[in-house]
Amino acid sequence: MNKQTLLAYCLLLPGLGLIIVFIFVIISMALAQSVGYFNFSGSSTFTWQFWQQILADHQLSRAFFYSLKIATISAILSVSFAYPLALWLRDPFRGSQFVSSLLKAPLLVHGLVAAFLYVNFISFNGFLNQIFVHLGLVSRPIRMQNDSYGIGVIILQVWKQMPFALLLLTGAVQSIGHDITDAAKDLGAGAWTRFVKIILPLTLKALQAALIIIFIGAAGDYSFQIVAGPIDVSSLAQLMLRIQANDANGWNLSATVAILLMLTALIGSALLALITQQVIKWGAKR
Amino acid sequence: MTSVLIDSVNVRFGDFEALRNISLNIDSGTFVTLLGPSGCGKTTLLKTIAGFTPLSSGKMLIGGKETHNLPPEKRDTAMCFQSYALFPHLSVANNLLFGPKQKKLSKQDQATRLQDIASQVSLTSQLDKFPPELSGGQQQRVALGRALAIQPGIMLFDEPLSNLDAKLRDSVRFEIRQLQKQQGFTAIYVTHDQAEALAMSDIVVVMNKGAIEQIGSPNDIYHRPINRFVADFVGAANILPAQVLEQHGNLYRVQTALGQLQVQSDQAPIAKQTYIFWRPEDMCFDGANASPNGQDNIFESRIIAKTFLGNITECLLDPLPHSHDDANTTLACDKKPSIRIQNLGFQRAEEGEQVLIRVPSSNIRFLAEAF
Repeated sequence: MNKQTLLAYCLLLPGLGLIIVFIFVIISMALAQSVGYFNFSGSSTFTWQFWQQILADHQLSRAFFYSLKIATISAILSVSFAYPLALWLRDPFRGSQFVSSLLKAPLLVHGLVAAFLYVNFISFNGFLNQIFVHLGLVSRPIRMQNDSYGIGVIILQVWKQMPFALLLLTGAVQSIGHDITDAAKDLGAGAWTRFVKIILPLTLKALQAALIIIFIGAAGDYSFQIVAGPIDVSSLAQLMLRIQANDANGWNLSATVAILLMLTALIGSALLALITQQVIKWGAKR
Repeated sequence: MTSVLIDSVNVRFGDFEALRNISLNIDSGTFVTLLGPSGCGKTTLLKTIAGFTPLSSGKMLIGGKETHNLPPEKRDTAMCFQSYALFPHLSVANNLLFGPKQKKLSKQDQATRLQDIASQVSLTSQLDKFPPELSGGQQQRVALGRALAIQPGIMLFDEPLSNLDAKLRDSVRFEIRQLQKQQGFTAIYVTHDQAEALAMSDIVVVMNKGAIEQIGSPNDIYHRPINRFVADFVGAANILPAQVLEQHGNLYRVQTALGQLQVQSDQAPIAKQTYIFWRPEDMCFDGANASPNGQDNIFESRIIAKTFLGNITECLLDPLPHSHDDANTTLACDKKPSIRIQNLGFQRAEEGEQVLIRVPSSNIRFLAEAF
């Protein structure tokens, strides 16, 4: 190994090494705890007991499907709202920089702050209810806070994540030459056909990246859920922390939930990306 | 087959006038080339015909139909883009079929069309490949085939050969012309390459600064340019300001910065003070062999530079003072020009050498431009 190669590895080490070590340590620790090792409250021996206990818990299946729903809907809605905006902002126009900056503003607001402001806005005596009453749309305030469908959490996820999708998709859409879309137009393709057959396939990588990142973030959400989420169902992250705090074998059980959460995020996002790819390819070839 | 009528068309982008008062009548089945330097508006005019750029004023008829508010997908046109604009995510077959699918052709018709087009543009063995896997020439064929597949009345070519090497450019140029003749579509071709324009076209439209300078056959454009821009842009030209001194029939004596010259022209100059021009290949080194009728112009010149171009040799000449001229009558407004000469084959004279050159008076023409 020559000096230059060694120097390159040394420069990579702080970043890459940290990531690899932490991933390895954290995942292996969680895996070990889920099968009985690193047990802080009993003997550290191999056992499936924690997996059996957690998989039998009906709260887990509810939390799993709830988190899956929130993550899937949030990811799909975020990219669906981001696409028209990305296409609109494709060519610069007077004020487009301002609009673009404004749309990305949610990236600068912390999730907890956003959730607090949202709850404040929709609360029983909040601004929205007061407007509804003032306009005569309802006779008395309605309860919107902590709705049992998780609509509030989805709204917050979309509000927070859509700018991120926009960031990825704007770059991808702008990289498609005008000649390509003009050629499609020239060959008889209308606006919808151009979107389905040209723009979607050519921005597939960015779309998949956006879906994966948003899905993973939303599947593991804690802050939106704890402030604005339903009271009668937990997200996987919420369940993981609650079990850790409330159960004697909390660390081992929550490690099991953590593994499930990671698997959900990994498999779910990969499936979402794969399905999207297949649907788009099918649409482009039709 | 489809004709195009363009009447007093103007296109503005803000304060910038991209097209100024363009009027052009293109008959069905003709091959028309829009020729001009970069930024002259030729691509804008092509995109206006395609429907990508809206008219600011004027009107345009394609196949006798007014095109106002008619989107590109509704026009009987297909465009070959300079960048090819192939769909990189679709195979060659799907690229070729993109148009027919939009036209809702049946599966059977699509298959027939694909076979026809693929064989016409010699892509039968490449149908399963994707554009990035093809060479530049093959990509160009896909672009051509994709446009042909919708069987348009008018094919629009936006400098389609500019990304190809010289050898390939020659063969594709020939193929495009052959296809146009076989299928009989109207072709509007944009290029800044005058050789390409002269070789391919029925009609050449020379453009400059958003306006049309001259419309004519390649022969007209080359041999009878109307002004200095056209003469200089289409091929090389020796252009001189000239003052007409006297006329005997179709023979004119003019005063130039080189001295007095004789011009034999059936077309009278438009003013006493006008421009004359001749092509570098219209003069030769055999000054000693002047014609006996005395109508040849003979100069003594020094060779400043010499370039051997294979089939021809090009020299830059510095004309020496004309012994028969009265210095007072030489046009004071013009500094002594350098003259370009092109002769077939290799020229033995060397740089710095003095030579006698001859320009027959019948090879010098008046430009329809006064100064």
